[in-house]
Amino acid sequence: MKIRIDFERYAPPGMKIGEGLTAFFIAYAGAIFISCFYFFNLGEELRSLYEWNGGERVLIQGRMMKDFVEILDYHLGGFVLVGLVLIEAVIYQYLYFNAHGSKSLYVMKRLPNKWELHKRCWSLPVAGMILCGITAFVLMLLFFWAYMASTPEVCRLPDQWGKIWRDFT
Amino acid sequence: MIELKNIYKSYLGKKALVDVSLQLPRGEIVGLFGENGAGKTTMMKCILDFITYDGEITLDGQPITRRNIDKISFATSEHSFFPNLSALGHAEFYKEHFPKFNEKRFKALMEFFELPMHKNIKSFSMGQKNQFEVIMALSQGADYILMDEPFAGNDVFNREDFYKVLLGILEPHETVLLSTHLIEEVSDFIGRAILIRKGQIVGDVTTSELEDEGKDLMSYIKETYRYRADRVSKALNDLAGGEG
Repeated sequence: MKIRIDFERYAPPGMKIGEGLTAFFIAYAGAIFISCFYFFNLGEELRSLYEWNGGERVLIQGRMMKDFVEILDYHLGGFVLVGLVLIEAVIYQYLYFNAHGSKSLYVMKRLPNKWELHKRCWSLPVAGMILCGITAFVLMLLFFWAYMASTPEVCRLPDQWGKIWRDFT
Repeated sequence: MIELKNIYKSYLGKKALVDVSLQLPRGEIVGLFGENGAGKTTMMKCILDFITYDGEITLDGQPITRRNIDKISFATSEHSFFPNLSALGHAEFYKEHFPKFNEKRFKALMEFFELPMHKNIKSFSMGQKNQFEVIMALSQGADYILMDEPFAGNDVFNREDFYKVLLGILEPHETVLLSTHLIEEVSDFIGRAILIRKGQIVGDVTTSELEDEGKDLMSYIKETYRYRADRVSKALNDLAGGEG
């Protein structure tokens, strides 16, 4: 079954949304790309746990791995930036109804469905924000899994999962 | 019927409407006249609930809300179409949102004014934009059509065409409230004239009442406004005298 979404129904009438969607997906891909630099950090930290001894790689006694949140650092920050741009897009879409030499806001205010104006201003940016949020969360889980799987148990500081939530709250 | 009862509106302490009360029954073509800043646009915006006001406005006895707002349409010289949407796109949008959208009337008017269906409205000339604005207001399927100086920028032939079309297509239940400065042009086809000055209704008369009194609309308006015809010649005389 082919699902086709008519994006134009969720944007101000007549607005060329193709360019906006392209810009969003480029920014979204950029945020994913930036987040992948996490693996460089992780690799570096993992290497620092070891030393070479007689041609063999061994763990350094007493060396502990940095916390996950420290290694994660701002690697998911790209999604926050995209989210901020999407908030700006909401404002732009409200202003769009008063721009280009016509106050089409008057028509929107006269529609029997009072939510139509808000639907056309919020839907796509909110969908973008949700997509960014879900992607950032899934990536964080993936990064956490990679951290836990690659860090030797003896080098791991306790309560890594709990520290994530403490860091965010 | 649209009924305004004791409407007051002020902008930052400046009175825009003062105790405005009037009734607009179905099937009338009403001219709304007044100087710039008299309160014509403010009154229409109050009816449409675009701005807050004190007093009561009802439509067929009910307050004007989203439930009955589709009974009122609005054409304004500020324009209210979607500039980047084609005429066809507008028809689709209106069809979706206004259940009584009159597609037959829309097509007939588009054809009559020879407006392109597929071009974005922003590419239209000013005259075409005005025509399109009015076409949408007439095609919405509303019982009450508010027009706020809709022909500003159109040439006289164009306006003439429009008046004829308007008279020809309006159905008996449709009411038009037309705000304009083109008093003489509309005097032949309006049935009632409302005069507003400094936010107050200063005159409300039917054209048949004027006929009975042997007056024309222009002289009634001048009389009501206490227009002093000698003002210009006096000023010119004073100027000429000053120079001498």
